[in-house]
Amino acid sequence: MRTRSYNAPKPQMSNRRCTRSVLSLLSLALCIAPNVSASNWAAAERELTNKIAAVTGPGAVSLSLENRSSLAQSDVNVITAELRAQFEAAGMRMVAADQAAATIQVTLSENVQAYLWVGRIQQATNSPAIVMVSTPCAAPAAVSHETNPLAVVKIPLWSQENRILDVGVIDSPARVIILEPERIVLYSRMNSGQWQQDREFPISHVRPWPRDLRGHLLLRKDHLFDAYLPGVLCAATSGATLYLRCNQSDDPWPLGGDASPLNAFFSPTRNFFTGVLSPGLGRQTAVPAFYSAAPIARGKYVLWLFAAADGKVHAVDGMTDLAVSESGWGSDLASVKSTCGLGGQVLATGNSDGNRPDTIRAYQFPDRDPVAVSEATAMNGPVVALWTEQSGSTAIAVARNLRTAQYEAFRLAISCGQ
Amino acid sequence: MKRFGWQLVAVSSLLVALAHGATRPQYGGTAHVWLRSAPNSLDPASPQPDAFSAGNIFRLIYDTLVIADDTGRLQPGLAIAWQAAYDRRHWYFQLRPGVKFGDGSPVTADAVAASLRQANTWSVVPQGDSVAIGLEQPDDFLLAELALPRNAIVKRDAAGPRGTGPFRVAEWVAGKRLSLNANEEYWGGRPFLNSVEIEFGKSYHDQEVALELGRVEVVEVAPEQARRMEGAGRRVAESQPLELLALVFARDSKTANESTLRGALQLCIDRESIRNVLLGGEGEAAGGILPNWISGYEFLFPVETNVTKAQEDRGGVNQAPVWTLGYNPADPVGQVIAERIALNARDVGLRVQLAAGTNADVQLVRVRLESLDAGIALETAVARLGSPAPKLDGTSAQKVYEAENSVLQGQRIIPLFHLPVVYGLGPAVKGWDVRRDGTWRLVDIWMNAPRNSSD
Repeated sequence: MRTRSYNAPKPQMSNRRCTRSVLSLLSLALCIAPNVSASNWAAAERELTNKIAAVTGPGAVSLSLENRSSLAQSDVNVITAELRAQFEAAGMRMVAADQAAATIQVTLSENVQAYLWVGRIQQATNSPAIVMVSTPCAAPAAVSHETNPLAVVKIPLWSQENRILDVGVIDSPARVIILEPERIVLYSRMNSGQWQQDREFPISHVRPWPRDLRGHLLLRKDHLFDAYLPGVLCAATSGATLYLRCNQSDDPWPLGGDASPLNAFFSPTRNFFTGVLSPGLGRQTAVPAFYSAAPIARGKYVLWLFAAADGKVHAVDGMTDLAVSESGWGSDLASVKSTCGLGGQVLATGNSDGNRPDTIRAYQFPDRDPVAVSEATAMNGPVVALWTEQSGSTAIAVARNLRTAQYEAFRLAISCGQ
Repeated sequence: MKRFGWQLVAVSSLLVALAHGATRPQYGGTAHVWLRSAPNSLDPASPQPDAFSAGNIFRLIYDTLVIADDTGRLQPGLAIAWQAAYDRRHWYFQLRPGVKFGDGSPVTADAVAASLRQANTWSVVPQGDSVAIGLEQPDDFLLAELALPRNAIVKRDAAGPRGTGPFRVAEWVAGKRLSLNANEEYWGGRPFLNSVEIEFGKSYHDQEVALELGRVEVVEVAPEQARRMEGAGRRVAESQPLELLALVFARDSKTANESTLRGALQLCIDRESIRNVLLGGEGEAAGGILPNWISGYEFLFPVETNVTKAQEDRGGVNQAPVWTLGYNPADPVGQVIAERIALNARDVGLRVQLAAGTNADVQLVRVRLESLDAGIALETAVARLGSPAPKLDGTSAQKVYEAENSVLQGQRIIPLFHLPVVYGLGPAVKGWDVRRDGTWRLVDIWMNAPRNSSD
């Protein structure tokens, strides 16, 4: 049997593909950023040179190069210089076109899957010879940072092809836990700084997952983590041997962390919380079905915001349920504590329709209505997950990069600025 | 905004208050879709006059073993893993467990084998939870072929074809109407929509009026009308250029003179003028059968008009025959393009007479490319254009180029334009993924309307 098979991609193994996996964990002072350098093109340059040399042989040639691809001019310059060097190493001497035995037109093109470099070789009055070389596209990772008097800081954590539902970060020893639809993967950082897959646990589930699948990962003190998915609860065991136990479960999902505990039931066949709360907020044990919730500490009580499935935002304090006047919020909210402003902000996505890049913006609630306190931080695609981390001071956001189709996880924090 | 500070940010946010938004998909609702052509039948293995449109319908009802994503890469469908033997003639596909047909029966290796045998001449053998496909010749294109709708996995019995796809057939009135309900047990997750209502046989004009009146959510739009509709504030989604408009001769060139005249015809056509005036600036002039975004090499095939060379070539042949140029009378834009080509031909001394219908020396033809795999797209397009199948010696771009170049050297096909597939969308449609290959993803759309959360 041959080795042609479909396998789930391993993030740390592919750093030169159209949809390149970019590993970076800034919080642990590591960033394996893509580094598009001259050596990236060496193999393709060699192959193209060999194919052209097989047609022309050594001798005087002229070379012109045209870029019809999405390659940046800096890359084109590098490729041009390196191709010339390769040609000369292969015995081809660069001369002006009117002195050349062969005229070589190299076109840097691309198709739906790869860069395509095409050499058109004209010798005397013969029909031109055509040679081609394919090389996978490189997708440079571009992460923008906002700096403002009060800003949402976006720290890249992880990027991969498979959908990411949530990410857990353990500082010591350095580990990252990635919750995917069908598995939970643990990565450990080696001494070299590289990340390697440590363990992989399949998630067993009887029912098909709903579309727009959601999941939430919670790091625990008595065992490593719990993973909440629609109708399924997975718990990592404690003890020397780590394994994962997944059961069908309608247990409510914890919201709000340790400071503002609240549990809510999640629909096993949809993408929202049913609205039933446990144990409830004061006298209120149910709210309209909602996608996400965020608590705001108010001294003696907690005001909860619910991004409801009907598109409205409800502010619930245990006594009253008021519709919030908001400005085009999306359906994902998360609260973060900070040392600036009122000490706590709500992060809210924008209201793109899922096919355009989204934004995340910080708001404060001096009273019942929100006030935007940061610029909108641009994401590279729609936000598919936004959860407050256990510490309460940061949140995890996952966006689907519309250009690379990669799922990119970020840690979001509030920067008070200077 | 940065330099104004966050106070202005705060003020502006309050000014835009009360606009509700939601990014998460909402369950429920019905999408109404109007189309021009209907599939012959709901069996994907049956020949279809418009394989592209039929394929979009079949993808709602059926699944394939593998699925091509938006970059043409193959992803698991009803098969979760696959392997090829060294000889490239034998392939093994492990099936996704727990999947059921619309009648509740499980998708077994026997059922998959029976389905694939219906649509192909391959040897397909069930092996436990896998199927083995045996081919007469090594075929690196097999995976891309398996992703085509005609290779969808179907259970055929007296009650009609049944699939495993995201929707199930509620009602099918051949040639008129198709009603689909969400498959609650779909392995990829229940669609957000509760149902889809598709009506066939609707002209572009009727579709546009229905969209305007809010009676439908998704319609087809003639490419040349796309910019006008956008200018009128309508939502328009278009694919990359993937419909080939070409002239196709009924037979190969038999003499050197005939080849010269065909070359003159190719050189005299003013594609840029036709595109700008008759196609509303949409699409791209085509030198190749495959557009550059799929092949990467289309630029090697010239599209420039060269009237002088065409006149010289025409002048070198003593007696030029009168060619009849056929066009589809139901395609008004096709007719005016044919008229313009006849004028271009006359300007260089070629004699071309228009003829409505298909019985002509050379025909104006539209073909939509069915795959993002260049080799498969070339093979299927050339077959639909009625030319002999190209000889593909491998999957590399170089091999596909050599095959396409060989076809074009035969001078039976003169590519003219690559046009996008365009859809008009109602304001309630959310999540419409503008795919490059023009395929629908109705499974992922949802309706922006108040709904019952228990839907």
